[in-house]
Amino acid sequence: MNFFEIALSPFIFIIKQIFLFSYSITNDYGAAIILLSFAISLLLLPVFILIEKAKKKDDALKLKMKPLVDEIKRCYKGQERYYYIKTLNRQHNYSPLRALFPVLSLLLQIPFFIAAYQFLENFTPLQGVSFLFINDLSLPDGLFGAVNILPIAMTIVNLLTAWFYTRNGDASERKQMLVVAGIFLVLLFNLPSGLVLYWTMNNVFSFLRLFITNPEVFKNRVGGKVGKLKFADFKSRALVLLPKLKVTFIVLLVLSILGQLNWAFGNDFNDIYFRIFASIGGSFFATLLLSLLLVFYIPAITLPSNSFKRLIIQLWPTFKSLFIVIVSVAILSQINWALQYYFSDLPLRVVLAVLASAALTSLLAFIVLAYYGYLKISKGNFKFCVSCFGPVYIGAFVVLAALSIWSQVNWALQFDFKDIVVRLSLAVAGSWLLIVFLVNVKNNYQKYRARIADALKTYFRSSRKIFLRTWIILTLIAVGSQINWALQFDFNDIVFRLIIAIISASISAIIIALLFTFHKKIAATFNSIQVKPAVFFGLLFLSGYFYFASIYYFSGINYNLGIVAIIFLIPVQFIGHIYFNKYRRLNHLWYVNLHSVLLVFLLAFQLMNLWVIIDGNELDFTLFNISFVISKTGFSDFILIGLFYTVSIVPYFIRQSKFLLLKSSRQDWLVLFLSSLYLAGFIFIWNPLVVYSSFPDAFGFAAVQIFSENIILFLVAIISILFIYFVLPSKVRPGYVVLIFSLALIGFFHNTIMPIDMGTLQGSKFENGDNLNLDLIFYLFEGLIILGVVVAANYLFKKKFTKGIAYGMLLLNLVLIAQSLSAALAVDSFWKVEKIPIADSHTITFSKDTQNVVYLMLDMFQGWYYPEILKDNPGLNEDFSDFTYYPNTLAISNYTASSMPSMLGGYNFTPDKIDRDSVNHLGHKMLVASESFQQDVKSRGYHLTSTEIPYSGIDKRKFDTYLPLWKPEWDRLKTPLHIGNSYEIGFSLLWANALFYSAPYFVKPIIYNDGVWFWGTKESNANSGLAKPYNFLRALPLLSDTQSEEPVFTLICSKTTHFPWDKVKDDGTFVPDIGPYNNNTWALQKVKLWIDWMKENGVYDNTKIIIVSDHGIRTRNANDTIMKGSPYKWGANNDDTRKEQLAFSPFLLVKDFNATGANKVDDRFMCNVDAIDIALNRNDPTKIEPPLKRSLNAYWVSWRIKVYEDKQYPITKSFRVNNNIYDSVNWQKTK
Amino acid sequence: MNFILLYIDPASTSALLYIIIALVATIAFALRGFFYKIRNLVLGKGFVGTDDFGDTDIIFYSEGKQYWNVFSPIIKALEAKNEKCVYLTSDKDDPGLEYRSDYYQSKFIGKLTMASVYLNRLKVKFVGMTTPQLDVMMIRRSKRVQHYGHIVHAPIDIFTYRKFAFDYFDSVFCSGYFQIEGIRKLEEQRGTDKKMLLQTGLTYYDVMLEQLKNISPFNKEKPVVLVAPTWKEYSLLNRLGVGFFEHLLQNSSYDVILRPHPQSYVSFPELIAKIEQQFKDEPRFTIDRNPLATESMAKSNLMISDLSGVFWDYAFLYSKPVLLLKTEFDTIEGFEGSELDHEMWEVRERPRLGRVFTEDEVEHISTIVNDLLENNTGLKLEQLRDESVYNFGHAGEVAANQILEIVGNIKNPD
Repeated sequence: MNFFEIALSPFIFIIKQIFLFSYSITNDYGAAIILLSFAISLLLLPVFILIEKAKKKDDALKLKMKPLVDEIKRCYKGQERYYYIKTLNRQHNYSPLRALFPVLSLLLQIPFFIAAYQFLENFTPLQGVSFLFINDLSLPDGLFGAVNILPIAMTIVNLLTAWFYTRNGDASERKQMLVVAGIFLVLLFNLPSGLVLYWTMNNVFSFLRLFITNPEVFKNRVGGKVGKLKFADFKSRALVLLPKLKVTFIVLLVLSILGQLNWAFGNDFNDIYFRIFASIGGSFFATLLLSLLLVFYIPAITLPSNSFKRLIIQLWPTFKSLFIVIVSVAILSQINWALQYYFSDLPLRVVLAVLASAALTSLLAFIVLAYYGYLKISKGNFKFCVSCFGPVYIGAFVVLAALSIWSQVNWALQFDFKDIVVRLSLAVAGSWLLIVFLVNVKNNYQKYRARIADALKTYFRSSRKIFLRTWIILTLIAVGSQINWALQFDFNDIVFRLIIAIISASISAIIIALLFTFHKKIAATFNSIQVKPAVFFGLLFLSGYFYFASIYYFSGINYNLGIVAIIFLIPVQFIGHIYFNKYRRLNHLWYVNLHSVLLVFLLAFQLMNLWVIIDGNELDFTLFNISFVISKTGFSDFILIGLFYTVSIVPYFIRQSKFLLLKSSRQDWLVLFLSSLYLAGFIFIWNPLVVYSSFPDAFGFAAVQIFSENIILFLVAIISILFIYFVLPSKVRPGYVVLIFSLALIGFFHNTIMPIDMGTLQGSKFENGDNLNLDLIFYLFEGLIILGVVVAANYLFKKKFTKGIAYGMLLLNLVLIAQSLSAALAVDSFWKVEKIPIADSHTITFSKDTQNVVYLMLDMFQGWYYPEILKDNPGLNEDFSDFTYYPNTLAISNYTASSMPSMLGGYNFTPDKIDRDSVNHLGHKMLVASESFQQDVKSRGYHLTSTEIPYSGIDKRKFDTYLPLWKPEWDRLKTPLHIGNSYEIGFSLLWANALFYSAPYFVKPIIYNDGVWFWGTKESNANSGLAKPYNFLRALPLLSDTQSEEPVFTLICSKTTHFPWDKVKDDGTFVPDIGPYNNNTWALQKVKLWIDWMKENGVYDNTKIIIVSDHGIRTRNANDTIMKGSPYKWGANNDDTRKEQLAFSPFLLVKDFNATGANKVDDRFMCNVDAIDIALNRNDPTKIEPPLKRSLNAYWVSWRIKVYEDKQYPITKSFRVNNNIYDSVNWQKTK
Repeated sequence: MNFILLYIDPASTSALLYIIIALVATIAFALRGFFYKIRNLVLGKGFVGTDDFGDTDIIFYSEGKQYWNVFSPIIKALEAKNEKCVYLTSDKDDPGLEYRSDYYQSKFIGKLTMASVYLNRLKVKFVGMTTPQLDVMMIRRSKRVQHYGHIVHAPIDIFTYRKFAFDYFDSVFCSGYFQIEGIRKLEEQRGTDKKMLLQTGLTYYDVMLEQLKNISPFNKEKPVVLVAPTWKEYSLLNRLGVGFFEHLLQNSSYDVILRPHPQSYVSFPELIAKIEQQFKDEPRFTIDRNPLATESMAKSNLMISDLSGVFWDYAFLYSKPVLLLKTEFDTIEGFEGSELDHEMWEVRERPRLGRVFTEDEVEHISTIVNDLLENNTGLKLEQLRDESVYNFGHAGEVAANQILEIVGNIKNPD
C-alpha cells in the first residue's frame, strides 16, 4: 500500500459501508449506487452550506472593499500598497486566512470522490449487473453504438447546474464551470456506467443542493444585467462567429485527419477512407456544437476581439529578446539531440520547440505582467543589455565570449562533440551573464556604499566601549601570562612574544566586540518577537517526535527523520533562547545566571556536534582530565542537546507568555473516564477479543479468560489515569483531560482508521514486519495529525463542547464493546474451550500388518531447499534415500487458508471452485473440504489420526485419534525432551498487539522490535505457545506406537516450518529466528528421527509417507539466506512478481509402500493438490507414464481473509503455469 | 493523483478553485509581509537599543528638523509647568537636539526604518507626533504606549493626507473645524474607533509670530510682490514660464521677488536659470534663495501663488492679500479625500484670500496686481483666520494643557 492508498482507506471504508448497506436494503446495485451518491451528498451537505455561507459573506465583503482596493492598487505600489491593503483588510475584518478556515473543510470531499472512484472501479460484483437501460454497470452504457448516453445526461445536468449557479455571478466563473463540464464529459465518457451513474446522480444532487445553498438563483434574475436576448442578438452573434468557425473547422479537420493518418501509418490503411470521412463529419459536428454553444448558451461571453492581437503587439517588443533566447536554446538543444540520435523527426521537433518557447514566453510575460508593479523590470536598476554599458564592456564581452567558445571547442576537439551546441550557447550566455552582473554590481555599488558605510559606522560606535574593555583585559592577560612564562623559563624572545600577545589580544577583542554588538542588535530586534504557546509547543513536539522517530526507527537510526527533527528544532531552540534572554534581562537571579552558564556549555557541545556532522570526523578532546569523544552520529546528539536546551527553557517561556489555561467544566471527569475506558478497554479487553474471535483455534483458552486475565491490568490502567487527575493541581486538570482525550483519539485513529499493514502475527512476529520501515511522509503526516488532534481537542474544550465530546466518547465505547462482544460471542469457545472427550491414548498408532499412510504437511516448507539440505547434511541422504523428490511442484495458492481445502479434498476444492459458491462463507466451505477428506479416508477403511486442521472447524470427534499440539498427559515427555513448564503467552501478546496498533508510528518500534516485544521475549526451554509446535515435532517418535490392527492414515499439519522460523535445541532451549533454511533443515532432521523410529519398529516399509507443504515463502525482501540454492533463473531479483513466485514452490517428497531406491528425483510437473491423490491412491499422477502434459493454476490470495465472513477468497492475482515452474516464461498472468 | 480532477462536480470545482486561490493569495500575502519585515530589519542599520527615560510620561517624535517649530511651543509650555518630556527625532540636524532644559531630553533615533523599530518598542504614557499613518506604515503602535496623539502641522484639510492617516491615533490635535468634520466622517464610514479630536490650533504659528516681532520694519518706497509658486508640473512657473514675469513687470512700479520652492532648483534647474538670465539686468526683479521665507514675506505686500500651501501662512500671519492662479487639483485618488464627498476646505475658502486669476488673464496681470494692492480692505483675513485656526498665537500652551489632561487621565500601569 502506498501512502495515498492508506490515506484513502478510511474514505473507501465509508463508501464501502454505505454502498453495502444500500445494497442490503435495495438488493440492486444500480439503486445502491444512487443511494450511495445521495448519502455522500447528504453527508457533505452541511459542509457545502457552510462553504456557500462563507463564500457569500466573503464575496460580499470583497465586493464592498473592491473600489478601495482598486484605488490603492492604481495609486501605490510595493511596500506602501501592501501596508494599505493590510490596513483595509483590518478595517473590514477581512483576513484571507479567516475566510479560508471554514472552507478548508471542503477539502474533505476530495477523498470521497477519489475513494468512490477507486471503490466502484475495483468492485467486481458490478460485472454483468444491469440497471434500467444499462446492460452492464461495469461497462460504458453504449446505448447508441459508440455513443454513451449517461455521460451526455451528466453533462446536461452539469450545464444546468452551471447555468443556474452562475446566473447572478460573473462570466469568468461560468466559463470555468463550462470548461470543467467539458473535461468531465471527455474524462468520464468511456468509464464504466456504474461510475458514471454515481457521478451523474452526484451532479443531480448537487443541482438539487442549489435549492438549499443558493435558493436565490431560482428566483428572478437580480439586476437583470444581461437582459433577455432577442433573436437579432443571436443573429448578430452568429454573423460575428461565422468566419471564425471556418478557421476552427479547418483546424479541427486538419488535426483529426492528421491523427487518423498517423494512426494508419502506425497500424493499417484498411478503412482509411471511412476514417477520413468520419473525421470530416466529426469536425463538422464539433464545430457546429461549438458554435451553437457559443451563440445560444453563453450569452455573456465576449467574443474574442482584437484586444488579444493588440496585447500581443504591445508585448512583442518587450518580450522579443526573451522569446529569441528561449527559442534559440530550444532549437539548438533539439539539433543537438538530433546530432546525437537521428534527424528523422527534426522538423516536428523544431516546430514543437518553437511552440513550446512561445508558450513559455507567454507564461513568463503573463507572470511579469501580473507582477509588473512589484518587479519593476523595466525601471529597475539592473540592466540586461551589454550594449548599454559602453564600448569597453562590449569589448570585454566579445573577448570573454571568444575565449570561452575557444575553450569549449578545444575541449570538444580533445574529447567529443556530442553536446557542443549546448556548450557553446552556455559559454556565450555565461559570458554575457558575467559581464552584465559585474557591471550592474559596479554601477549599483556606489548607491549602496554610503548606506553600508553608515551601518558600519554605527556598528563601530556602539561596539567601541566593549572593544576597549575587552581589549584591555585580554591584553593584560596575554601580556601577563607571557611575562609569567618568561619568569619561569627565559626572556630570550620576550619582545616577540609580547607583540604576538598584544596582536592576538587585539584581534580577539575585535571579534568579541563585534559578536557582542551583533548579539545585542539581534537580541534587541528579536526580543520583540512574541510566539504563541501553541506554536512553540507544537514545534517542540514535532522536533521531539521526529527525534524519537529517528532514533527508534525500525531498521536503525534514520538520518532523514533526524534532519526533519533539526528543521523543527532550530526555530524552537531559537525562540526558547529569546524568551530565556528576555527573562534574564529582567531578573538577574542566581539560578538564571547559573542556567545561562549551563546553556552556554550546551550550546558549545551542540556546535561541536554540528562541526562533527559537517566535518564527518570524530572529535575528541580532554578537559579537566575528562576526555570527550563526539562520534559521527552527532546529529542525534545535536538534537538531544537542543531538546534538552529547549525543554530546560520551557519554564521561562511559560513565565514570559500569556497562557490561557482551560477552564474546567462539569463534564471533564466524564470525558476523562470515557477516554480512559476507551484506551484501556481497547488495549486490554476489546481488541484482544476481536483478534481472538478472528481465529479462536489459534488460542488455547476461552474468550472469557481474556477478561479474567486482563481485567486487573485494565482496572489498574483506568485507576492510574483517574488517580493522576485527582493528584494534579486543579489548574492543569483540564489540560490533562485534553491530553488523555487526545490520546484516545490518536489511538482510535491508528487502530481503526489507518491501521498499518503488518500481516499476520506468527508466534510473536509480524509477517510483514518490514512495513514498519515507513517512509518519511508517513511520519510527517502523522506528526501533523497528532498535533492537529491535540489542537482540535483543545479547541473543542475551549468552546465548551465537553458534553458533545462525552457523548461521542460514549458512542465510541459502545460501538467498540458491541463490535467485539458480537464477534466474540459468535465464537464457540467464548465461555470455555471445548475439551475433546476422547478417551484414547492420544498416540500415533501404526499397523504392522496392514498399510499405513503418513501425510505430513509442513507449512511453508520451501521445496527447493531439499537438495541443498541433503548436500549440507549428508547423513540425511541415507534416511530419505527411498523417497522421490518432486522439485517441479506448483502450489495451488500462497496461503494455508486457500491451499488446505484442496490439499485435503483434491481438485474439487481449489480456490476457483470454492469461489463458485457465493452463498456460504469460507469457513463453511473449508469444513466441507475437511469433512470430505475425513469421509474419503474412512471409506477406504483407515483409522484416521489427525492433528488440528488449519482453518477447519471440523469436529475433532470425527477423527479416530485426535492429536492436540500438547496435552497434560504428555508432560512425562518433558524430561526426555528437556522441556520446561508450559505457559500461555496469548494474553500478553494480545494486549501488546492492541497497544502496538494503537500507538503512533514513532512508538511502534519501541513496542515491537522485530519479534522482540517491549517486555522481552523469553528464550528459555519453557513449553510456551511459541515452542509447542517445535516440541510436538520432536515428540513424534515418543508419541508413536505399533498397536493398531487396522490400516492407519495419519495427518499431521505442522507449523514448525512456518515463519518466524525458530527451533528448539535437543537440550530444550528455544532458539528464535534462525532463518527458513536452517529451520527447514531442523524440521527434516526431526522427521528423520521419526522415520528412524518407524524403521526400528518395522512399520517403515508398509507405510506410504508424503511430506508436502501448502505453499512456499511469502517475502518482501528475498535476501541471500532465503534464496539459498534457488533454482530460479533470475536469482534474488527485486521484481515483485518473481518474489511472489517463491510462495508457489512447495515441497513434495513421497515414499510409496515398499519403495527402495537412491534418492530419486522426478521432474514431472506436479501440484501440491496432487499429494492427497497420491495419499489416497486415486488418479495418482506419479503413476502415469509418460508424465502428463499439464498446465496448472495458481492463485495469489490476500492475507486479509475473514474466514467466517468472506464468501470468496480475496484473490488478487492468478497465474496459469506450464512445464517448469522455475522459468518465468512459463508463467502467464490470468488476473 | 489524477483522480482529483475526475471526481468533482462544477459547483465544487469553483469552490475548490476558490480555496486554492485563497490559499495562494494568503501565502503570497504572508510571504510579502515577511519579506518587508526582513527588509526593514536589514535596512534598520546600526540599531541602538532603547534607553529608559525614567519617569517621563510624554514623548514627542519628529520626522525632521522642519517640525521643531511645531513641537517647541508645546515643549516650552510643558517646561513652564515643570513637566518633563522627551523629544525623539530622525534628523541629526534637528535644533531640538541642541535645546537644553532640566525638563527635557532629546535623542536622535535614526532614519525612518530604524526609528520605527525604536518607536515600536517605546514605553510611555503619551506619544505625540506629526507623522501620520500610525500603525499603517512602518511605525506601529507600541503595546506599552497608552496614548498616541497626532499633531496637525498645517492649516489644511485632511483630503490630501494619504490613506488611513489618522485611523489609529487616540487623539488628533486639530488646527481647524474642517479637520474634525472630515475625520468624524471617515470614522463613521470605516467603523474605526472614535478619536479624541482636540481644538488645538497650529503651534508653529506661536513661533512664527514671535519671530515676526523681531523683524525690524522695512523702509519701503515701492510695494513688493512676492511670487511663491510650488515646484510641481502644474506650478505657475512651469505653466506660465518667463512670459509671466514680463507681464508682471510691464506697466508697473512695484518690486518683484521670486521665491522658488527649493525643489524647483532640483527638478527644473533650466527654467530657473532661464528666468535668472532673462532678468539679470532688471533692478526690480530679485530671486530669493534664502531657505527661510520670513524676510521676503515680511517685506512684501502681496503674494502670488498657485497651490503652494505657503499662502495660508502668509495670509494668516501677515494678513496680506494673495493672488492665486486658478489650478485644478490633482486627483485625490489614493488620498483620504477620495472617500469624502464634501468640498475640501482649501478649495472652498481660497477666494476669500484675495483673488483667483486664470491663465487667460496673464496679460493683464500687472493690472490685477495693482488693483488688489490698492483695494484689499474688503478682505476679512483676520476673520477667516479666526474661524479656521484655533487658538491663534497660543496653540502651544493649549496643546500642552491638553496633553497633560490626557496623561492625567491615564492610570499608572501596574
